[in-house]
Amino acid sequence: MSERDLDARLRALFADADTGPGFEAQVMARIAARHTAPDAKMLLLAERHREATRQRLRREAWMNVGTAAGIGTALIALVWREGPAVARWVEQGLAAASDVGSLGTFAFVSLAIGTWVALQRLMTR
Amino acid sequence: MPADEAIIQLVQAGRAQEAFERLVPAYRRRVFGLAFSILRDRAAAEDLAQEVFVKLWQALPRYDGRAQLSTWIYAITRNAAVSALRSRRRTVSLSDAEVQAEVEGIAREPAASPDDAALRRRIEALPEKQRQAVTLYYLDERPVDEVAAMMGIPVNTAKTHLHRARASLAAALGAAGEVTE
Repeated sequence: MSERDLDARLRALFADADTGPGFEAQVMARIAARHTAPDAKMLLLAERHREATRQRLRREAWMNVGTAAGIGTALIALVWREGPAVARWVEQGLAAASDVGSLGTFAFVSLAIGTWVALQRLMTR
Repeated sequence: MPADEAIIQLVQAGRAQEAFERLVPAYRRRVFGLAFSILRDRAAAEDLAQEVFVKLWQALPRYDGRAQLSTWIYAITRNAAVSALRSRRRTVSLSDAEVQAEVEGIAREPAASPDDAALRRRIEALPEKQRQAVTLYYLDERPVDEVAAMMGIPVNTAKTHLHRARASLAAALGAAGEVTE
């Protein structure tokens, strides 16, 4: 077989190898499908995130209510059972609070605790 | 290539959509041909070519012009085709008999004359790079330097593959008595 014959036969063999009709339209359809898919996915993810946040806040609110109720109950029980002793602690506390040095210490400790709590919150965001 | 320059200018002007609309017709046949030369399956090659254009649409705004546009597109196509081929090999494990049946099936493509079927079988039997070079060269009558660029190999290597492939085919077909298997 001559080279020319071989060339002709190989050209003829591959002549009809091509994409089908509507190739470009199919590409654009795939792009359109991909383009909308991430949006839908993002919406779904955002909705899930919102729902998780709602549940977390509800849980925290119930825990806060429970904590406040527990502390309140404990205080009432304490006053109920140890009334005179509590009155004495309060008097002693007020006397100590009227002292300038104690007030200064209390203010400093409160400021330090407040700053620490604020920093903790900022760092966890 | 003038079409490439126009496409690059559009990309640099931030008009990626327009650039893409020019890129698809300019590269459709080359991307398909390259995919076909690697996958050896027309439907799979067309599917992969569409996927490559979707990738190009996503990546085109980030094309920085460091590589030639064609080189960039061919590299994306080659990588996608090789990945597709690997995943196909992983998922489809055929016995020798099944492989033979598949090769016969490729040879019996619609409306193939006995001569064409024999020629296809000879091409299938060529080493991978030779087969790829022949397919790319004759599929769209591309010059050898472009075949080399599409395959990602030096021009002289592409010439060698092509020369050896043609010699093998001529010898095989000649020895078979003008293709009457």
